[in-house]
Amino acid sequence: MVGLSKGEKIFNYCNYVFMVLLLILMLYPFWYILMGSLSDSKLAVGGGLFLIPVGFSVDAYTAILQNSAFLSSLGTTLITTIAGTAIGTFFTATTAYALSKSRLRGGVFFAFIVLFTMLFNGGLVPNYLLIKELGMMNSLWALILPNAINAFNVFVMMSFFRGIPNELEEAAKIDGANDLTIFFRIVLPLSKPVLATIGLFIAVFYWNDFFSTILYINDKDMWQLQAYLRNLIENTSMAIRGGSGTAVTAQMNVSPFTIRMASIIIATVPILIVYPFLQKHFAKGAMIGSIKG
Amino acid sequence: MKKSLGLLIVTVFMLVFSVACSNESGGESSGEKGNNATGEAGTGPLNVSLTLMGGPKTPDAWVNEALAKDLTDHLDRDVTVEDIFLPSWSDAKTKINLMMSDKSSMPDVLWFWDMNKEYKQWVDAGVLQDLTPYLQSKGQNIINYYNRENLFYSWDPSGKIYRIPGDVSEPGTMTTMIRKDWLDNLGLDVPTTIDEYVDVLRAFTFDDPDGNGKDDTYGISGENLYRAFAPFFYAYGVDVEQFMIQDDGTIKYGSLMPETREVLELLQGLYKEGVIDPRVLTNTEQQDVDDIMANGKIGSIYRWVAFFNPESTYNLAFKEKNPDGEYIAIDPIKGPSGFSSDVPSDAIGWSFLSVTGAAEEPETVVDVIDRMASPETYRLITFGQEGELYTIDENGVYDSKLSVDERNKLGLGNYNWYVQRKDEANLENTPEVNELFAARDKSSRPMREKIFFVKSLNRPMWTEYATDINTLRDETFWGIISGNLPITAYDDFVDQYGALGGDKIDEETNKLYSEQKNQWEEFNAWYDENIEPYK
Repeated sequence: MVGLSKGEKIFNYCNYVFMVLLLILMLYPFWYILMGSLSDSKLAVGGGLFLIPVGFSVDAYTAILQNSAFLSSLGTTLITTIAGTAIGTFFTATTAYALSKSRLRGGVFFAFIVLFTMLFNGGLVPNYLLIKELGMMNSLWALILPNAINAFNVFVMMSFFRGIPNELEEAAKIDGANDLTIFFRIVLPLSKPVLATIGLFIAVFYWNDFFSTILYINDKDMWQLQAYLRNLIENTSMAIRGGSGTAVTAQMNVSPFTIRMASIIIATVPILIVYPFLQKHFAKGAMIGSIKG
Repeated sequence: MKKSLGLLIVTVFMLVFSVACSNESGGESSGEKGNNATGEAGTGPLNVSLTLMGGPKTPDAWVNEALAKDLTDHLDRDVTVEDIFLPSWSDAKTKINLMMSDKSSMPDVLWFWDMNKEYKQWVDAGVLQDLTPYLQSKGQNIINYYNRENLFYSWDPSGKIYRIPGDVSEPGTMTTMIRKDWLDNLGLDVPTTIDEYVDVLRAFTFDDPDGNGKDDTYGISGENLYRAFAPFFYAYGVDVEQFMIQDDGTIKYGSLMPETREVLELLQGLYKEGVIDPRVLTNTEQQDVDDIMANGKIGSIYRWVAFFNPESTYNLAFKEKNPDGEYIAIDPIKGPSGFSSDVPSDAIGWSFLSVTGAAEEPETVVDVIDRMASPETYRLITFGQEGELYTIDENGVYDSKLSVDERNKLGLGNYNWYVQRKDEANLENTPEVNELFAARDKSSRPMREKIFFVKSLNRPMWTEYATDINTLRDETFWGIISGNLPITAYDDFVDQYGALGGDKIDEETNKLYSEQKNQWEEFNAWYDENIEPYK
């Protein structure tokens, strides 16, 4: 802080203090959840501030992780997230690329069909019957395919592809490239930012998806992680169904509070880890290195 | 670089497809039905699919094999049990609806709750099977366990039974509880009348019953439901949420009875004094109340009998924080007229079992449910093998050798609410708790006789107008208790009731009451002919 007047220094210090306070304000909810999840269930029910865990205990994590259904549900979610992201991103890109070309015959019609799904859908039961008749019930396909292409993502990518100059493709064509070569070797490499963005959207969607399990899966070995956690949380907090007041909570050794906190950690941390890896793609400009001048 | 990108994409795809394919084939084979397509009670292998909601929902657990083996021995043919675990409470109805939308995806046995409208549709569509003949031939455990009244509420006036209750509560599940140690500290007797009760609550609030020198105790707490104040309402012989049978034989909504006004006025005063825990107005979740109770600052509460099982989680949480604290259950408080009663549960049950059209051998399927309802098999699938997993000492006290986690791993409880037995087969209740349940059965009878439990699933007026009326009632009543509204607001509510559709509800309910009386006669004749001889 060389060359700053006294007033500026004071302002800077105040600024820092304010920013740090703001930081604490933002981080505290996460901290609270983390500490709550590590607290002893019987002591944590008193509530209050959690700067450190009250009576350290990992029982909540043990309860979640030890359950045999946890590993299988984590496996399901990993497979559907990875496969769904690959399939979803790829087909979103191909769909969007085709639609972005004005020389596509009936392009308006196809774009309308895609748009239509944003506004209307067949409804729950018809969808269910469709998936059933396609023979996908109780299979991972039912978790992956119905959500692979989202109309919104298609339009985002479409407008991105429209921004890629036609001259670039014409140049490639003159060099003897066909449409597929152009798509794979010119367009896709130029589209990393949008691929990363849409890929992340899709990945987060698959990671958070629990409703597909409810619709299409009967076999508990194939439940998605979020469906498993949701069931676990409700099982511990819905103390009473029948009136006798014992039936459900007696199953668990832990309190709904710590279970809920631990579930939030387990459900969010893995997908949070993905963000830093994709960050550089968001930041990068779109056209660097392709066309200059 | 570009080549490797293409290669990467291709590799990922191949990987993905191969993984997904292998899983698909695995899924399909497990979804296949057993070879039971041959029709009537066969001898070949049997696969029976059950929708399940209770317990830990552990897949492929020990309990599944144990049940399959038990059924195999019982039916003398190979039986596999296909567990279909329903998702969480908020999603399970969606799942049930979807499964029932198509015959090929229906389970053999459907467990459901609360879905009166859908149930009616299923019956009308003919997708549920009439269980009467199968109950007669194979359902002895079921018809011996459930009493006449239980079956009445599931009986179709056409003389058929399309569902049986999955779980019916004990007749009286709740009790007035009071801190014994606080009574002793203050030298007070157990209250029996409403005046004594109020005095005790005041003392609990103001006389520092826990002796810590702080004014941090409340007389009474509970959840944001009227039953939290059952010791007051019931002493005056009124339940504001039920239809009450009047002395002249007509039916009146409990909220409208003049006694309600008296109770609200009393509660308003107590709230103002600070005797009532203000959190009663905000406690929306059961869990909040359990936490408040565990913190040990509440003198009296209307709560579950099952609390008194020493192993219950509530009891453990309370004891952990208040090693010297002790709650006791007391008899219901007597009102000004000497009337007293505990809250009776309905005999309807809260969840049900139906056999769907997908079951190709309905008789055998009923046999399966019946076997699960037998005391031996019930104990096996709920508590495990006696001697191995639990012991019963000479006083009849059950002691599990396993931790909760271990029991969950075995899947004990997966088959909850498939005819949940509340008698001696429910080992978890200590003999004292069983006695208390029996006592609450008796002490809840006075009100049981005054309340009209509606059987009909077809109540258009109630469906249309009840929400508005109850919203106004809740605003008014809780407003009065909290002191935000004067007691005269109650009179306004009563005046508005009729205009809000209350007149139509009253008319409908009175009609249903006389109809239900007739139906009860018909049912009794039917029961004597179709069930009684087969017990």
